[in-house]
Amino acid sequence: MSQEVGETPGEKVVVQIYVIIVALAGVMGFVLGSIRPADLQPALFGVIDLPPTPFGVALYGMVTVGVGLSVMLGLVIYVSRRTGAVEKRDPQ
Amino acid sequence: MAVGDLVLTGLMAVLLVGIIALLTRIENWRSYTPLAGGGTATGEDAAVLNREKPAGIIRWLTTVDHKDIGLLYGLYGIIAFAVGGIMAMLIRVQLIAPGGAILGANAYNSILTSHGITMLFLFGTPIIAAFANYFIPLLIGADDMAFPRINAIAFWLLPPAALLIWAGFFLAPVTENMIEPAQTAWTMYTPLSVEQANPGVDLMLLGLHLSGVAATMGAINFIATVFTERGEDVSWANLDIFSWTILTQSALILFAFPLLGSAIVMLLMDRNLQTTFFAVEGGGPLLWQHLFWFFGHPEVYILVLPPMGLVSLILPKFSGRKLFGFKFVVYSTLAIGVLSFGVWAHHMFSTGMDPRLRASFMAVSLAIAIPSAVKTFNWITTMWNGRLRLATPMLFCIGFVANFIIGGVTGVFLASIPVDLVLHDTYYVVGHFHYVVMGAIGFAVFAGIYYWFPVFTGRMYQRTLGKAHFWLSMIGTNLTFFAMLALGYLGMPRRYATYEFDGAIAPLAQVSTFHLLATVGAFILLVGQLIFVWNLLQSWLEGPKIEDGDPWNLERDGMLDKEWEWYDRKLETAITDGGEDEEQSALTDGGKPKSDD
Repeated sequence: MSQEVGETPGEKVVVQIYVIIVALAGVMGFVLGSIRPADLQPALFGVIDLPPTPFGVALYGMVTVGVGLSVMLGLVIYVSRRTGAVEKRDPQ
Repeated sequence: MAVGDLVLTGLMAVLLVGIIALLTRIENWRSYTPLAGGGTATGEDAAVLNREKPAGIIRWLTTVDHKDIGLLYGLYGIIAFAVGGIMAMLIRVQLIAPGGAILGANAYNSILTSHGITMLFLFGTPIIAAFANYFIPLLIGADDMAFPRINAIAFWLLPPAALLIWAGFFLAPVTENMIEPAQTAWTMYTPLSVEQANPGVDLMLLGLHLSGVAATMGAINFIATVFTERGEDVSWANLDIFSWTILTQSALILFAFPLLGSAIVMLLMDRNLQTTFFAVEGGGPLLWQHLFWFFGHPEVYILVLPPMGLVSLILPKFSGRKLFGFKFVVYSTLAIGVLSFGVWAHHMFSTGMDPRLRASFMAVSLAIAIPSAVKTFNWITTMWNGRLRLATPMLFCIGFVANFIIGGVTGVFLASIPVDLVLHDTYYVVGHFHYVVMGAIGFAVFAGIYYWFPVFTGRMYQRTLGKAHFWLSMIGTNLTFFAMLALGYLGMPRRYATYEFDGAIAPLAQVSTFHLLATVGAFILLVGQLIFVWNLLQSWLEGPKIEDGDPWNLERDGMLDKEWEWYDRKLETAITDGGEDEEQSALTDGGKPKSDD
């Protein structure tokens, strides 16, 4: 007895997770922008001022989290390519 | 009166003689000799093996088989999960309305306290012990745990622990509220926990102490088992990742739980014997927080490391490739284990402690994010370039990774002193740690249950129900705990039975809306868990039978672990009741290795 399950490329799933988490950051930003707590002054990377509106804070959240996770995703892609190349040269 | 005393003394004497008689019959702890078989302290009959386990309930009450004890832990954990879950639902329904929908303040505080303690000590630790008991001996090629009887004792301490922790709920109606459930919150902060005269607090503390003793006994057993009972072909170099995490977790338990036990005894003495450990004129109330969190933060890793091990074990199986950077995952586990003892005061940033100390705890708290990120990196890299099979265990593993990222990132912010000072004691903290305890730990537990369901039931679960369970849990978790993060930003303090807001801080309508969203999410979670329990029970009784030892087609990728090989041998050597080959039927546990392999 075994379960028949189709195969999905790992890249696709990882990118989907990335998009979902960045989108969640956007939703949180939108919510915060709607609530407008006192002293809300989003500044992208501490440099670029954004308006404290729902879309401004959503953009802040998506860019901040997106860039942060992109670094990690970039590392994953880089390391996978490096190790993939090593595996091709040396199948052990 | 004198006659009564005499009778009582006589009864005590009989009891003592009985205990002594029992003790003389307990011989070599490592033997399987059943007491009913006449084993004594002389150990003469230590080599006698029971050919069959007793039938019915006696089997479960007397078992020292690691697999049976694993199942008992599992049953216990799921019952505790249900009780803790019902408490969570009551909390969520209460908070729909600002004035509280269904409970009085005392009832709310009782349920809040018991929810936390139940989920952490009666569900979290035991459900991990369930997997560890069942599978560690199989994974490392051992016949059983190093100390099977201590294993059984450790489990059987847990039911009385639960009864003591919940005692107030049972005793309040019959004692006219003389004994009520504890209302101290799970952190039991002094002076509140010293000043509550209610004896239910003492009962809860004793129950907690007992569960700590059980966890410590289990931890000693796991350490001894992994060190001394490994099969000849299992070295430190090829020890599986789940065993590594259980070994590290056991070491953490060994250092953390005895400290909790000591602190609890001190608290009990402050409450009942007028000592001043936590009184202002003595050690001070803050001493409790230091002692509690010196246990409490390693406890977080006691709960999260083995689930990380489960994900590290299961995720590669459905990715079609080995775990990326195995060594680094092990090193990260060990690093988290060591660092976990150096971060406790980040729970106390707002207590007015020395700012220089605060800064050092912030630095270590940020540093512990590094090994956690290394693990996340390795899981994602394992999936990248992999051929993913999105079966239910894999879905829960992916859910674990996603929720752990959210729980982890929100935690990194809390580790920063300025952010913590703003968000301390708000629902942001509640949202953060629930993303970890439910979104990550809970999901890994579900992944483990589905992955090994064929091993412990001999049947396959229903795939559609499994996926429904996953999606409802994923949506419910994110809706509930995301709303809590937002509530935290709005300044909603945690632990309150009712709430009202100054419009200058946040409009009450917004706060109520997010509470409502969290409650809707909790109901979605509840439906998912009902489906899970139904699937578990019905599939156990009626699911399609497993016919070979590789239901997940792991052999194709060369990833068939020892527990599946054991299971395959078990299937091959099993014969039906009343079968013919009696010699073969005796070969159950160790089984006969396949000669053609």
